[in-house]
Amino acid sequence: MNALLSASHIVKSFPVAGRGRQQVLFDVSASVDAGECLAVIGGSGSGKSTLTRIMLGLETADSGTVTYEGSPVVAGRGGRIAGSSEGFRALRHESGLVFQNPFASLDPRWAVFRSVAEPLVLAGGAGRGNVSRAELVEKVSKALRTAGLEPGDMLSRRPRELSGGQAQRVAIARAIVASPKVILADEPMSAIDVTVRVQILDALAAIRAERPDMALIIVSHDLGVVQHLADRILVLHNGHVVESGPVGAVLGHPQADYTRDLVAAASL
Amino acid sequence: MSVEIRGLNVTIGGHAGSARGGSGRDGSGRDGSGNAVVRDVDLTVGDGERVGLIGSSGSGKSMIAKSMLGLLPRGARATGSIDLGGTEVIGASDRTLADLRGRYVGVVFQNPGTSLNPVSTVAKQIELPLRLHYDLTASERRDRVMAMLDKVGLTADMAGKYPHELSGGQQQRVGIATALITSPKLIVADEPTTALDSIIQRQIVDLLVSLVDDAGASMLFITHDFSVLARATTRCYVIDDGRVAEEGATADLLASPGTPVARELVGSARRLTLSAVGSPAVSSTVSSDRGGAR
Amino acid sequence: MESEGIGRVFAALRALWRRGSGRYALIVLGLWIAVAIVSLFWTPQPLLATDGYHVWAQPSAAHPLGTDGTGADVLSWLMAGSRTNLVIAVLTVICSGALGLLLVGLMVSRSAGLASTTVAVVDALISIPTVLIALLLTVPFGASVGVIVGACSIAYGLNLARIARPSAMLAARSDYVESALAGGASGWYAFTRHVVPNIMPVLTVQLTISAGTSVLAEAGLTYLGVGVGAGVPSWGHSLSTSVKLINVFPLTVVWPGLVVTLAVVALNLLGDAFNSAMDEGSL
Repeated sequence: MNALLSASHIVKSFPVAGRGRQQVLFDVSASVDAGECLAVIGGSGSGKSTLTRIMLGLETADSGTVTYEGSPVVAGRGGRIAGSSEGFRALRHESGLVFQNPFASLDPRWAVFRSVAEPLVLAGGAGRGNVSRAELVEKVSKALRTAGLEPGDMLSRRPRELSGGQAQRVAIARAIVASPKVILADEPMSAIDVTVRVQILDALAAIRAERPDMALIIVSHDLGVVQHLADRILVLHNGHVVESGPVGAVLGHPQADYTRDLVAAASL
Repeated sequence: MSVEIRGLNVTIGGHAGSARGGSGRDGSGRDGSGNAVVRDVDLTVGDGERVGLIGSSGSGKSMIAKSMLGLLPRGARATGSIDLGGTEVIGASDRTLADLRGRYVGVVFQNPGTSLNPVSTVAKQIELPLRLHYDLTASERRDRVMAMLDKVGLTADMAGKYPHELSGGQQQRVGIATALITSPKLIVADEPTTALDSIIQRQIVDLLVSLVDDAGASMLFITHDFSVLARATTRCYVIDDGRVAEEGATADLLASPGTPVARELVGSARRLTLSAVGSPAVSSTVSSDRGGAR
Repeated sequence: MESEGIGRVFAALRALWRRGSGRYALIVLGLWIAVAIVSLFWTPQPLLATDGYHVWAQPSAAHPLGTDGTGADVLSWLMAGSRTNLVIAVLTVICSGALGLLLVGLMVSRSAGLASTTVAVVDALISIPTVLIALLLTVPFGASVGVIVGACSIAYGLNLARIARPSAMLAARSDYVESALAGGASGWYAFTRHVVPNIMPVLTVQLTISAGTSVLAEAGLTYLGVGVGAGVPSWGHSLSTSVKLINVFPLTVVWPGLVVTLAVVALNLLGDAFNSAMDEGSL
């Protein structure tokens, strides 16, 4: 139980118009250690996004618990988010998010600098004077460089002036700028061209090398991406964990039929 | 149906009137005569051939397809020659184009979620091209639609469902059925699998290929992903910055890409494809997507 | 920060000026404001001066636009009226904007109950015509500028909320707001920093058009007797005092009618110019 972030026995269902509720997660457990990269893979509708969102305290569960550094994030009857708990508050400030569509995850009216600096400003709390502008510029520039972008005139650009690959790297810079302990990247490459995916992959790999203690949870349906990044894989299918283990074992010797299909489909 | 494109140029914008103040940075220093998005492209698709167009986004590959269909956005101008089975597309009347598209060309779009009408049932959706372009009785149309549903691997009870009740893969099967219902001689598939996950992606590509081959139709398949291209086409054109950078048999290009662009595309696809997998448990046809409720 | 804001205002004005409709609108608005200021210090004739020997007079050197039924100078009253209408327009923009933003804020709030209640209430209230609201307000408060502003603000505020809701929803449910909230931001922060800037285009266009409509509303309500009080100069007042004898002295009605038309058209065109400037991304 030394995992940085762990979810156990998560059950979740969503209301479906006219047909009661549809269960998307059946008693699913997952955990990630400091410095580890966990890949949650599965097709659309497998529940992979829901599971990871519950882990990061972005959604409630019907039942089950999530703990961050030993304190509950989601817990108790009804699996609610323990909003006032220490675990939840710590997670809020020590996690970063990267979404599928980079343009939807950057405010279209904000310049790159402001978007990337936002987590720092928020972490500074009400007294925004805590962080000097020079310090912000320095941290933002550093985060952008880590994500593979040259700050320069990039700082003053707006999202519409960026390519898809640049925008996603800005979003990654935003996620890492406040030195989080865990990052959730939910299908960070699905919306982007194959050639650009490689850039994102490189950026994420560089970040892992630079921040050896940071945990990364990557949600993907793309095994090609996963094999370059992940240490461990969790395969979800229709809300059940069908397989989990080290990346080499799962991809090299898939046990479940579903995983075998995935592996076959991902090979050229 | 064969396609022959000679010296195709497409420009967007054109005349000096477009004074776009303030936003800057795009336009990248091109002169006032509009933005050339397709430049001097020659391209052929033989009868019954499956040909690919590959390039990154913004390379102009979709514009080539749009000019073939006479569906260029407002403000875009095409010059050159596009011959679709003996009909010249450039300069053709809207009526000719609509007839050509409806009867002889089927289009499969990238995002099945938005290309299907949300308030129309699957059967109505698939039937529409028949109603528009053919004189058939309701029962004849019904028979054709049911036969088509079976061909694309959807069960008969799907006919009465609405798009939002289907999974992404099922939606794209409906998209394919709609494109193929008129037995077109040419299929244009514009990134039909980009929005789907990898297992479903492969199923859809395989389905499309088998249907196109069975019908003896030609296909132009547009993608940015070489691993999809390899399954879908026999020959391909690499498009970069509006030009044809390289062309050849897909397998040859994959094995030895000649130009830097092709090398980058192939390299990316290779890096993102599973390599060195221990036990290749291939070709399981268990499709999680077919028919079943989710 | 300060100079950046001023710079953006100038850039916006320049973008509007480049368009024919925007240029017309800016000129008319500039004139309107200038006349309103001048009228505070000077009008061709004192407002209360009536010339009993020259009622319904034709334009002359002493009365450039003629006189009305009491012999008062039409130009002077129109000039003085311009400041009343300006005040009404400005207050309407401020109040309906504030009400609209408040309602939008409730509509996109993360409490589903609060949001859907607000939507239902707005949908129900929006069917009440501005005139009816004004009539209801007149009962306790009597006819006044305040009633016009109140009625317009309520009606346009509701309308604004309804129109701005979709884009506000888009922003409020976006990934960037979710990131901000996940990073510990408050709902207020997300609303003021992310949602409001993103609905600014809709807001600007809609409020500009509301300002124009307030001019029409003032004229209509004053004619009905629930507008500005007796003796208060306004364009609506000038219209309603002369419209009774439109068959006999049509020219006297033409002047206020013309002024109202010019102003309303200008504000509508300004709204359009804002809209197209923002579509092109130059604002």
